[in-house]
This record gives sequence, C-alpha cells and structure tokens, in this order.
Amino acid sequence: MSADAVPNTTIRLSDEIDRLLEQYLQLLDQYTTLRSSLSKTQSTIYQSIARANFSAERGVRYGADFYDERIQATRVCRVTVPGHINSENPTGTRTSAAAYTVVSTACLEDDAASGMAKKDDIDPNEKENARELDEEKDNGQAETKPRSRDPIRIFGVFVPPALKLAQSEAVKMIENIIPKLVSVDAEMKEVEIKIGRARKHRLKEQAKLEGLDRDAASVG
Amino acid sequence: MAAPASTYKDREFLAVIGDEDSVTGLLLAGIGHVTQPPDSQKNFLVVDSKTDNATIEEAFDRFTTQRKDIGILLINQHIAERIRHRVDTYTAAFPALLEIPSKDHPYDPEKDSVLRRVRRLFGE
Repeated sequence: MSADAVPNTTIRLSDEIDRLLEQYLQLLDQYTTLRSSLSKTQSTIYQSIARANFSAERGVRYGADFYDERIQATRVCRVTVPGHINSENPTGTRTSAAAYTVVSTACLEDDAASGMAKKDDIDPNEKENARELDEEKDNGQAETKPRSRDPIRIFGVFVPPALKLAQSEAVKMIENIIPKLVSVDAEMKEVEIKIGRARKHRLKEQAKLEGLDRDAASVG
Repeated sequence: MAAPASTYKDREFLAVIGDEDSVTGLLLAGIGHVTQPPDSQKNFLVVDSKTDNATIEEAFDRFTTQRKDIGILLINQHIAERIRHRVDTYTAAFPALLEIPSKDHPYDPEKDSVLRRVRRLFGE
C-alpha cells in the first residue's frame, strides 16, 4: 500500500463517521420528539382514568379487579426486518433494523376475509363449500350472539366518558407512538454499531499511518 | 446482517410490566392477552408496593427469554430501576424493550437507557 493511500482512507472513514453521526442525530431528534409525545399522551390517559375513578360509584376503581382472565388481544404487533427505507428519515437510508407496527386484529381479519374472497373467485367448488360453512356459522351465531371484542367491555357495559377518552388516547399511543419509538431505537442501535466499526477501522488506519511515518523517519 | 425471520415472525404480542394505571391504559388499547389453558399465561404484570423484585425479574425473564410470542416489552421506568442490572444487560434484538413513564414517576432522561447509550457514544 502506498503512503498516500492511507491518509485518503482515513479521510474517507472520517467522512463516513460524520455522515453516520448526522444520521444518528436525526434519529435522536425523532426519539426525543416521540418521547415527549408519549409523556403527553400517557399523562392524558392517567388523568382520564383518575377522572373515571372519581366519577365511578363508591368503591369502584377501574383497575386490576376488572381484568378478565380470558382476555384476548385486539391489537398485535408486526415485526419486519427487511432492508426497508425509513419514511421518517429524509435521506431514505437503507437499514436492516427491525421495524415495528401495531395493528388491530379486526383489520387483520378483514384482510384475511378479502383474501378468502379472492380465493373463492378462483375455485367455484371451494366457494360452494365456504357458503355452506358460512350458513352453518350464521345459524350458530343466531343462537349465541358474538361477544363484543372492544377491550373497554372488561370494565362493564356502561363506562364513564373519561374511560372512553383514556381508551382512545391509549390506542393512539399503542398504534402511533410506541411502534415508532422502538423502531427508532432499533435503528439507533444499528447506527451505533456502524459508528463503532468505522471508528475502530479509522484507528487501525491511523496506527498504520503512524507506523509508516516511524519507518520513514528511521530510514531518513 | 438482518436477523433470521424465525426469531421475530411469531412475536405478535406486546407485554407490559407496570403499575395498575399503566396496565389499565394498555389493556384499554387492547394489548391484553391470556393464552389458552392449561398455561393461561398473561402478558401483563401489575406491580405495586408489595411486589418483590424477584417477581418482577421472573416476569422480565418470562417475557424476554421464555416466551417467543412477545414483540415489544413495555416496562415502567421506575420499575425498570428496581431491576436495572437486568434491564441494562439485556441486549437481545427481540423482544424490543421500552421504558415508559408512569403516573407517579414522570419520564426521567437521566435514567433512560437509550440516552445513556447516546452519552456513551459521544464519549461522556
């Protein structure tokens, strides 16, 4: 390797580190903004729950006593780890960090149903079978009315408006803020690793350069 | 390199270790889930003043290590403080861990593990 090539590599690595640090600071900015949104939303949730408890009948508290032992999730998370492009990141840098989303199971069921409908168009025999199954299901449903899957129902049928407000804020938090926060955190971790590697590489190059300088001085 | 799909594709639930109001808020959003019997495992733990640290640690282990269906673990920051050694040494990619504020303990940036990493990166 020539002596000139080493400083060029060091400069290139320094530029790369600067670029990564810039990306990292953008992510940090997103993180702190999301953090402040999370704090505000949570504070609204806690205030609303406190108001609901205040307006409840004497001795009633909307809390652990109501939790249902058979509760089923109506919102689930999806994790994807492709080389996705972060929409929040204006530079559109490719990343392999995990991306999280939270979706309602009702949406997933709708998607699955529309998928089934498409399948039915292809196979007329299956369509007939599915219709029979649907009819059977409908007959069954006529006998037993399906239970509402709204999670607020674990606290009773008539709940104070404050609890409904708490629910709408909690949904906002769980769908819009939390998945973005954990995705940004995952991206930050990835950039930290890249910065660490680049810094280590630059140190090695600098050590190489110092070694070459020492050799040149001893020859001179 | 991206993690293999088998490590995250079944991680569909959010879990929470928090005080009563935090858990109530999150259950209102619909994240609460109890698995089918006989296991009947909950994805939430309500922590109060009587809950000991061993119970919190056990729940943390269950959600982060034993269960493979948890995608995000939420923990109140003041509860994370009680098992800080476990939280700070947790490095697995999945589930993602997020410390959240609680009613009586607002968000403290000094205790935030992400911001601690930031300070470390910038040599502070």
